Amino acid sequence: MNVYCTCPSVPPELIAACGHEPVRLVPARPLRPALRLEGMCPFALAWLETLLHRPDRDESLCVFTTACDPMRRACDLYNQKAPRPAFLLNVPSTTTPNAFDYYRGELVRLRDFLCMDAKAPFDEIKLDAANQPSNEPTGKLNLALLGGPLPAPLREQIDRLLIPSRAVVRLDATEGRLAAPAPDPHEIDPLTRLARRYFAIPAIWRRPNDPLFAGFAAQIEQNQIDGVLLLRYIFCDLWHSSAAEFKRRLPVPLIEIDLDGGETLTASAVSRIEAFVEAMSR
Amino acid sequence: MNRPARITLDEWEARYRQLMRQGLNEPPGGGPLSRHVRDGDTRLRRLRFDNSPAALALWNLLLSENDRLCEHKQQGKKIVAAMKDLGTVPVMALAFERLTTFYPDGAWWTPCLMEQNEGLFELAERHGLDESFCPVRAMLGAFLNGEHFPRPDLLISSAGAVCDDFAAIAQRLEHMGFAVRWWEIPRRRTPALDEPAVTLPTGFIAPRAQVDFVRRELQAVARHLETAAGSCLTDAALAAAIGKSNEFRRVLDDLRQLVYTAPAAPLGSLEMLIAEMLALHFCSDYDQALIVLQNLLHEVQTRIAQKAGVLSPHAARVFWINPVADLRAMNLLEECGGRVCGTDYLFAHALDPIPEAVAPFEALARTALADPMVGAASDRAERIVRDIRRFGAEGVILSRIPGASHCAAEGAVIRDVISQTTGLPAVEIEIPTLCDAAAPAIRTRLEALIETILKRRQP
Repeated sequence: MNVYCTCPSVPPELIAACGHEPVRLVPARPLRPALRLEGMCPFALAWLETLLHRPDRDESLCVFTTACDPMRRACDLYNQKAPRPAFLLNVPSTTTPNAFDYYRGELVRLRDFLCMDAKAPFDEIKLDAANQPSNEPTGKLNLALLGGPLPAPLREQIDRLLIPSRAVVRLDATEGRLAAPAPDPHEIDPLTRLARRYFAIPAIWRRPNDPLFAGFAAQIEQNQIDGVLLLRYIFCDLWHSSAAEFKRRLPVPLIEIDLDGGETLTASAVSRIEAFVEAMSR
Repeated sequence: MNRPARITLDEWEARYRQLMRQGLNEPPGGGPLSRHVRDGDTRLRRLRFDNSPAALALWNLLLSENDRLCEHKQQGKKIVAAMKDLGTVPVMALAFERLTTFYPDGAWWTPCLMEQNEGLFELAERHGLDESFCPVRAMLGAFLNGEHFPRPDLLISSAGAVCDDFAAIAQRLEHMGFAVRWWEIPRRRTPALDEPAVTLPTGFIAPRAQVDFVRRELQAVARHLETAAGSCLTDAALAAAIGKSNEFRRVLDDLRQLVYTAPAAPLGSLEMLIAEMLALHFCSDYDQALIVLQNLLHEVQTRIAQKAGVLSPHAARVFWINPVADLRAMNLLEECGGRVCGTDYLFAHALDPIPEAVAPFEALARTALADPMVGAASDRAERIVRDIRRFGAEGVILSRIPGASHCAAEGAVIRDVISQTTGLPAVEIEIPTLCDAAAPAIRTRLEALIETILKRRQP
């Protein structure tokens, strides 16, 4: 069956090894949203609404994580309304050995949860499937995207906005777009190998989150990036608070773009992107 | 003047002179409240206070904390900033003579007390934290300008199942050069049927694996405290600190039980809010805080025996959820004919006794994991329902904190549970840092709730 997830800390390899189909959703909110919760992250609401109204709700599973407060709260709301509770994967914010052991234990718990509905035996080999990094083009102006999960329609709209100035998105580092590291061949236990890969993914919600800044700065240099669009959902404190530090650490200009969770960028966001690109083109 | 009453700051001047003539014996840090206004806490001019010597001591204890911290630093004590966990790290620090702990989170009230003349919000905004963040962003400003507490020697912050505002602000602090020792509090979950489980102090149940994880985290925190203090923490010392904390919690529990169930409120909700806050870190002076609390309890016991109260016995009994950014809101409730009978100010786990029949780190781990804010909102709601029944509340106020990430979603869940289990009327009200401009709208909502409560009393 389909297993829906959105957080990059949920290994699709584990879902596949349990005989299910991992489906990573990055939804936008419909024009007439059913849920109205003032002050809640619009992406968390979009995710919640999508799960509550998915057509295969009775024959599929979903996995939330504890990565951020809105998602933890969204899970509470989902479990209040859905006939079958979601699985809440506890992903530690800290990166100590104690935290790693805890995360590995959570993957065991997820495995056991998924295997209850499995129609095939657990296939350990699938745990080592490596992600393929996406290839992005180069252009006259190379931009990087950073920030919260980006629905496909918004990414397409951004690509179209960049065409007149021959700018391209060379690096998409929004949540979930960066591949997990390759498996460590020296680690004997397959589940531990998997846990180490996903535990190593830098994230805005890690404490401390310096690896995210350092890693991104390195990618800016490797990909010869000229500017950064920081795309953040309104009410997202984690990305919003990081903007000043990114600006301080990065050698290239950065602009913040608010996302309201809709299927298109706001008029203000479009203007800001166009102005940013135009200014950089000169 | 000796009759229990709520009085203004100006009336407190005359009252203070009267008490001095009557031979008032004040603890260290005593004096008229007006001197705090001269120090910048101008909001005091807009508040109504209880007129007892016990309340005077309470306010002086609270408003002199910065002086105390500076004094402790000068005496060679190490200042530990505990952040976010609300009630766990200070218990551990109590076991060390050379450590003084405080919560810089408490700076969130500074813009209220100083009526935003201190510039903390502006300073936070200049460093990337604008008004979309909750008022605890004032903490960043306070760290940067160093005018509200001395620079701590050690910063310890919980991470994980904490609100995003705080997680973001604490990380921003670290980026700005303040080294933070992080420890993880996982999101509490319900154990599986066949999974070893532990009953926590607040009545929740958690998997043994989570308690063990938190215990190891707290043991790592203890190592940082030992380094700062220059001495080791023994189980016996920690057990003694837990015993002291429990003594404080017992007195506070007696106070809450008496005040919230008395026919006429013997103490106002503003003083009760401050008294409950003392449980978090004893206002950086355990001995003095305990004396203050005991004196408050004695005052309340006396008033109840004399059938004397500060509010009408017909006041609507309201359960208040979440602390207010503007202290004046507590007065507003009472002006509208309500009284607080029960609270959940985000730290219920700091009010319950810490287990003493288990090893001390195990006890602290259970207590930390018992925090209603680290679990499902429905758990928190169930605890609130138990307390509603305990204190006999007739209605509920959910106070929203502007910009707080948890308020957006948990209110809906909590209201639903309260409605389904108690049938009580509930209203959500956002209380800004200075509620003067919004006071008419806030009053309208308060009055609507109170009228509903009073109507329901009619047969």
